[in-house]
Amino acid sequence: MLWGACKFNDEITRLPIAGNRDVATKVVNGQTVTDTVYQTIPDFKTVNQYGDSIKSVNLDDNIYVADFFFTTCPSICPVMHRNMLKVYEEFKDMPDLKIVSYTIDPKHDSVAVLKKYADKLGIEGNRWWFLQGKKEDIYKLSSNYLVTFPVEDAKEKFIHDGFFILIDKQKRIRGQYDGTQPDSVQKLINDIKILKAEPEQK
Amino acid sequence: MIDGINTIINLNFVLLKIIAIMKKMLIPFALIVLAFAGCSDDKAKQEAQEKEQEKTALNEVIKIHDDVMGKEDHLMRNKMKTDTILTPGPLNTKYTVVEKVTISAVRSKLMAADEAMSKWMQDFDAELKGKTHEEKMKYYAGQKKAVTRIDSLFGVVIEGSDKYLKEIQK
Repeated sequence: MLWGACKFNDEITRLPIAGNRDVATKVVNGQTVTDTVYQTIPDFKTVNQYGDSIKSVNLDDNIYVADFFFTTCPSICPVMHRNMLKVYEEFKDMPDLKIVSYTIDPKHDSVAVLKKYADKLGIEGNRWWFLQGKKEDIYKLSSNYLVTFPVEDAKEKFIHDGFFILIDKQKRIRGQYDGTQPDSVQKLINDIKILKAEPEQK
Repeated sequence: MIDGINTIINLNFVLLKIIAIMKKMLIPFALIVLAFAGCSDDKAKQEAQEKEQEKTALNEVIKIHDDVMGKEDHLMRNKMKTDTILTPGPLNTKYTVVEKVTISAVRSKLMAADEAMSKWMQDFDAELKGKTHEEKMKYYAGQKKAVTRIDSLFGVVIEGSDKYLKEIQK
C-alpha cells in the first residue's frame, strides 16, 4: 500500500486521509461552509501489559501505529514485531508517538503473558503497549483500522494480514503498511516524519 | 672418533628405520584420516538434509495455520452476528424461538471451532528444543493432521453459519 504524500495549497507535504468521509456544513462567521468529516478510530476498552486500563483517550495528542497480533503466532507476528522494533527505536525520543499492538487471542494472552512478551522484545515504559480486550470488540475495532484504501481497492484486509496502521492526533487513518516487508516499514518511518511536520500534528 | 662415527651411523640407521616405518604407516594413516573426513562430510550432509526436511515440514504446518487464521475473520464476524441476534433487543424480537435456538447452536459451533484453534496455537511448539530429527518429523506430521482437521472444521462451521444467517435474514 503505497500512498504518495500530497502537496496542498499551503505547500506543506501531507499524507492522505483514509476511510469513510462525510460532508458536513456549518456556519462560520455567518457564512455557511462545507467541511469534510473523516472516519476516526472509535473508543475502545483494553488493558495493557502493566494491567493499566487503556482507552482511546490515553492516546489523545499522540500519533500512533497500531497492529494486531498474538503471542503464540508462529508465522508473521515475529517478523512484524522485529520490524516494529525499528519504528520503536527510530522514534524513541519522540514523546508524542506511541505503538499499540492489540492481541487477537485474549484468552491466552493475559496481562502476564503480554508483559513477558514485551520483556522479551526489550520494551520498557509506555511507548509501546500490548493491549488485551474482549475478542469480539477487538475484531470489531479492527474493521475501523483495516479500511480499504483507495476505496476502489477491492481487496479486503484481514486482521491477521500483518498491517501496520498509522493514526494521527485526530484519530484519522493516515497510512497502512505491510509490517512483514522492510521497505514498507521504512516508508512508515518516513511517513511518520512527514505527518509530524503537518501543523495539526505538532 | 670411531665411536662417534659409529654413533652417527647407528642414529642414521635408526632414523632410516623410523622413516621406513612411517612410510609404511603413512598410507593406512592417510586412509584413516580420509575415512574420518569422509564420515564428517557425510554427517554434515545428513544434518543439513534433516534440517531442510524439518523446515519443510514446519512450513507445511504454518501454511495451514495461516489458512485457518485467514478464515478467522469470517468466523468471528458470523459469531458476532449470532451475538447480535441473541442479545435481547429490537432485533432479537424479530426471530422465532426455533430460529433463536438454532442460532444458539450455530454460535456454539463457531465458538467451539475458534476455541479448538486457540488451543492448538497455545500448545504448538515450533522449536522442539532437544528433540531428535525423528521426533521432530513425527511431531510436525501429527500437528499437520491436527491443524488440517481444524481447517476443515472452520470450513464446515463457516459455511453452515453463512447459510443459516442468510436464510433467517430479516
